[in-house]
Amino acid sequence: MPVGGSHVRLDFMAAWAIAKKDLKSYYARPGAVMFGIMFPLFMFLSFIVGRNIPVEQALPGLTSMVVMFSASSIGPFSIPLERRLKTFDRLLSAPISFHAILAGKVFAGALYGLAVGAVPVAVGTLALGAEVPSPGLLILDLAVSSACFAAMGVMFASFPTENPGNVTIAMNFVRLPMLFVSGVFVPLSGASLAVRLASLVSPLTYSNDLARVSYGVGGMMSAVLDVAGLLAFAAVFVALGAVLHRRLREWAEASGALRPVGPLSPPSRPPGLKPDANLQRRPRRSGAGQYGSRGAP
Amino acid sequence: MEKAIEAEGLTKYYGPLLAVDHVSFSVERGEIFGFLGPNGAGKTTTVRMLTGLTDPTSGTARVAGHDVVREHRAAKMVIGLVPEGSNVYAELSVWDNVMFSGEIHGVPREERKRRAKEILEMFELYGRRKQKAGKLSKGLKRRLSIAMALVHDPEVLFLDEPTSGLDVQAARLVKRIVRELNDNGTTIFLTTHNMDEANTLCHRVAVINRGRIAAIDTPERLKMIVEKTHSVVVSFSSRPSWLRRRLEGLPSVEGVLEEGDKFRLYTGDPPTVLEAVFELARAEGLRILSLNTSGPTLEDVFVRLTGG
Repeated sequence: MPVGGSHVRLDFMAAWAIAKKDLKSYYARPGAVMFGIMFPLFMFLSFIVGRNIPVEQALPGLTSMVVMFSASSIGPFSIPLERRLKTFDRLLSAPISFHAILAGKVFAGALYGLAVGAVPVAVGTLALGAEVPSPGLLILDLAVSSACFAAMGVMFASFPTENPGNVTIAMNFVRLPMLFVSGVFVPLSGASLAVRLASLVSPLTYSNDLARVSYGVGGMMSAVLDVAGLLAFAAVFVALGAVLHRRLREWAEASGALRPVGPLSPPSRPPGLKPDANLQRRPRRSGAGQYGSRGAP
Repeated sequence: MEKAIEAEGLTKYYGPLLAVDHVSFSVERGEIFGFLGPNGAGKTTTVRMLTGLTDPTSGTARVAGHDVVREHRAAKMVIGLVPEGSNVYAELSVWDNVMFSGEIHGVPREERKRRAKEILEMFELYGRRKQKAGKLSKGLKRRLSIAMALVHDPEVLFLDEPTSGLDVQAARLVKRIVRELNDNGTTIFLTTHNMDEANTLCHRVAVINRGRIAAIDTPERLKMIVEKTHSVVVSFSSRPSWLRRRLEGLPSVEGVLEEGDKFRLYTGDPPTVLEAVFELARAEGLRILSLNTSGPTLEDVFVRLTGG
């Protein structure tokens, strides 16, 4: 038994500790601020400025986009960085499950997304006078969307690299197209059938739709379906993320991408010292590599 | 009483490469056990298997009686790991780093606070507890890294190159801490390149080469492997260009190694070499500044075993 109680309790406490640590460590890092806050904000402004769109119509898209970018930015930033700094080994050596580590990363992203996502809501309602007919639904939207997109970020962070930029670039290949098929800028009601079909496999669709319902500007689907869709995506991201993290780590070790061995550079033998006949290196097998090979005779 | 560490036929393949090849050994409780080997010999992979960071392809390992694969939680509960480098969280304070480590090891809050204070005082870091870890010097970061591995009071501490890159004072402090921990009953598994460190700290040493254990014994008994190889270390007031060649030609000298301002003459017959060195100095008008004879060092053993 762990020092502090049952395994489940320890996993939960550890996940919470990891989330707190990640938030303290990474929320203000330039990468997280750039891709989590600045990027979605300026992207939105580039689409909205100069167009006569009512604030209630613009806010759902802005809210869901900010939540997506901010919540999904912590995992891809913290996990590769922890690999590089070898602090990830500290987590792996703790008596907790791998799922607890990933859950901690998802918690951190979700809390970050929730906090950042609250900013456009606060500005929209307090400064611009937008009304929120269903505030409870909006809070639910922020919470579930944050968790879903945080899980998406953690899943992408399974990519076996020590450079956060590599994960962010790969994830942007998915995040950016999602903006254009999810009704964020242009309502889906006027979109082609192909776009509407594509929107079904984008979690941002459900997040944006739920935000529209919350702001009272009409959604394509019911709030229940939106929440169910987001939860389903979150479950898939978590499950797939856990498998990918394990499989890709094994693959990276096998391929040498993250292998913990350095170059061979044994010290030189002083003159006069000859290898002991009884303790010489193991004879190299024919056809074998440096350490021999599995298939060698 | 069960051993602190027991490895049985530990093997690890990375794809087609065999990194660790049927390694078997055991470490007694209360021992400081050195694990030596050249780069790429399989040291880090062995440590990663023993600490549950990577699964062995075959074989078993037990730490304090717990199988590191089947009972990985129980095993990790008694393991403290200090990987090479100072893997601390730069953005967190010294105090928060230690508290975080305790939290993920399930140490209850009050106990965690008490242990954190106790350990930081032991490591002379308590006065800096509010400082960001990223602002610490390399030596202080290493101390913090070790402190983080101790907050859950592990039975077995794995230290990977604990003094690598540290200045003399910092390295001495880390070695003192390792001895104190061991005196208090902690088993230490020490991976190092530093032969002097292994020689002075370790009760027993294993040498791993090309994924296989080449030898395991006490440092002194290992030195008996190369017992016949003694050396005479001499420095002269001047170093004419021909000096090395003349030293190599002295009777009974098997080889000459330059070590800074000194020459190390390898021999199986030190008295004959001593006489010849005196004779050479007299004949050439050289003044001998220092002259010592020494037995084989652990480094000689390492080089012999690893075929360097």
